[in-house]
Amino acid sequence: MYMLSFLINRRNLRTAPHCLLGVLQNKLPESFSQPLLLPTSYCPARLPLPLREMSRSLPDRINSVYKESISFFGLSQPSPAQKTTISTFARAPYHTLSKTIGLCPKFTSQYPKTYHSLINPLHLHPISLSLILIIFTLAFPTFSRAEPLSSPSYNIDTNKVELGGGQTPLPSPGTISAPSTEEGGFTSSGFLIKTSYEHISPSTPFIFTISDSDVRFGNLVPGTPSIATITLTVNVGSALGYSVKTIADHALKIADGNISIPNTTCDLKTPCTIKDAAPWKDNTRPGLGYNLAGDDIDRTDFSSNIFFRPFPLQGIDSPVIIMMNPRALAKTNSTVTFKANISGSQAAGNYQNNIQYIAIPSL
Amino acid sequence: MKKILALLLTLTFFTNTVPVWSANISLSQTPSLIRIIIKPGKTVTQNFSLTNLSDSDKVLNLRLVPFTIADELGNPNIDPRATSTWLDFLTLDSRSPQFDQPFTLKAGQSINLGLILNVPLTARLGDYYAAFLAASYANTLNRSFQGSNISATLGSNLLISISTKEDPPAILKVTDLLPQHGKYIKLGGLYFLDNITPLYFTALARNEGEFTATTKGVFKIARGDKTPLDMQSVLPQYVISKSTRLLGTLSDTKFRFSPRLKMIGKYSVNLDIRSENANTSTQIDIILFPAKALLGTLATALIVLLTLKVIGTRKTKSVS
Repeated sequence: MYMLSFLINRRNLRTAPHCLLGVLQNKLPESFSQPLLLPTSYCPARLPLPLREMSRSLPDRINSVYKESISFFGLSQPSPAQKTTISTFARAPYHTLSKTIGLCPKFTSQYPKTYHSLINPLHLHPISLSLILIIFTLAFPTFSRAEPLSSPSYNIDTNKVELGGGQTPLPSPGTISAPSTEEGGFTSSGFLIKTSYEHISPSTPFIFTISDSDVRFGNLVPGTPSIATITLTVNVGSALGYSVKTIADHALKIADGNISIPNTTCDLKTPCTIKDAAPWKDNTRPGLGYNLAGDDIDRTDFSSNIFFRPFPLQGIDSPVIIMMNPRALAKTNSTVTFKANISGSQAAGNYQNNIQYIAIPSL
Repeated sequence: MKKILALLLTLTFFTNTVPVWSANISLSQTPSLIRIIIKPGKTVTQNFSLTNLSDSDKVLNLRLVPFTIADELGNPNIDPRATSTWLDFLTLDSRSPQFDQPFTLKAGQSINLGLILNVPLTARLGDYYAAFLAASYANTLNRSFQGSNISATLGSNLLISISTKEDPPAILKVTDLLPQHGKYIKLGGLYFLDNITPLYFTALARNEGEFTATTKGVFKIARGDKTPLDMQSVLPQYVISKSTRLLGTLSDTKFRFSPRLKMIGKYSVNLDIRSENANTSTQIDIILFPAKALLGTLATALIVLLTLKVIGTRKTKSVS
């Protein structure tokens, strides 16, 4: 089909297509149970020069086709097993074509109707015909019963594959191994300890870093939010993944007092919760909230820097995940932006709270 | 005299000012995860290493927090205030700081923590889970300070199985082996998928037993004759009792498969889990076909035919 398209494009439509395909039989090793389709050399005179040269050398190549990978007209051939196999689906139209018009019928004036009705039954323009042939050639590639066995993890390169049988044990999971055992002999010692996976270096520690140990809001002015940021960094080390959660001991409140700045509820029209961020643009709305940016955060929730959440409060809420990755890279960073705002009626004083960030490796 | 006094005051102000800066907090703890299978009446000690990587000395506090559930990504559900009586099985050796007793760890210093698990003979057989936490201690805030004091807590997970067997039995089921949501058409029990773009499959493992199970196995795609075309190792992960875990490979929580264009027809997607204490298998059938190529072909053919029709109409008009 590739050759057919090629020759049509080369304006050899009227002379060459019926000479393109041939079935070369009884010239292959016995192991070839099916005839191999090759570009025929039976009518070299009708082929363009490059094809003619190639067709002359093809018989010499047949003997080596079993072991070598050759390329027909720039179309690379698959693995050796595939070279020997041609599916029924692909072979059928070739046989039909060969039987109908012969391997190398001389193209004379007695053939035009047969030829045209066969090659161009719709009497389409040659360019349209070639376009359709190319599309169908690409859309319906040939079947092959022999498949290379490969995956991103490994590639099995053999002529004989024995996998997946009922009696065949499962292959070892490649580079992934079961958790390592540091202490053996459950029967004798009465215990077994497994500390890590072998696919991750057990010597690399899990590291959690917070850029600042306090967040200072300074003097709060009603209607002018105070902004402060910290950076959270996680190096997962030997862990597979991780999560970072946060919780506050209480809302910002005056030391030794009960007067507090409430947690933010964001804008009135778009209220936020401890698990759902929402826009907080209205500077008349008091409260304390946070925004997240960086790695391993919920980007759909914190889609921009105007989205905030209130902190969960100890005794009322559970800690909320703010960073998480089940297959973390070596090092991830995220920025937490704090926003505090007060109303005009807020009592004077210094408002404080404790916010805890908990980093836990995944199981 | 006044000038000299003013100068002295100015010098004093600039030379005696106390620098104020926010120190960072950086802690590391290893190992991150340990799984202990132990018989009743036995004792074992596991060493942990805790390092203060901060720029300054830190006051730290050690705690144990039990947990019973984890989410599908393996994140334990931890409530710092939670407690349980079984935590009495765990103590720290005499050389280590004790639980809930703040201690100072100098900048750059490491400390070994010997965690002792002493299981009574009468202990209930089953699984016990806890997080071993090291938290930077929240200092009493200065009254002049306005803002939030930040503390960092770092944890290691303890998965403890009290059992008389080395491989305590688990009941593991693979559920919801599915192609990626929104990328397939389901008719009956068959999933129709396009064979041009890469395919993604997700699967969940549910542990209905009383002990932790491991998800060691193989994900494979095969033809009807069971000849595997693609095989991927399932990453061994722990599925704690009564929980569900999303399966995946080392690099992703999905299984990725790039079909070849010539792969058209029925294929089976199989997931086999065969760990020391749990075996399970599940399979779905998929139909691969060039959906996008066919649509493109049909669209192209339609355009070509319309073009030819227009050309033919013009020719007819010009002849007439």
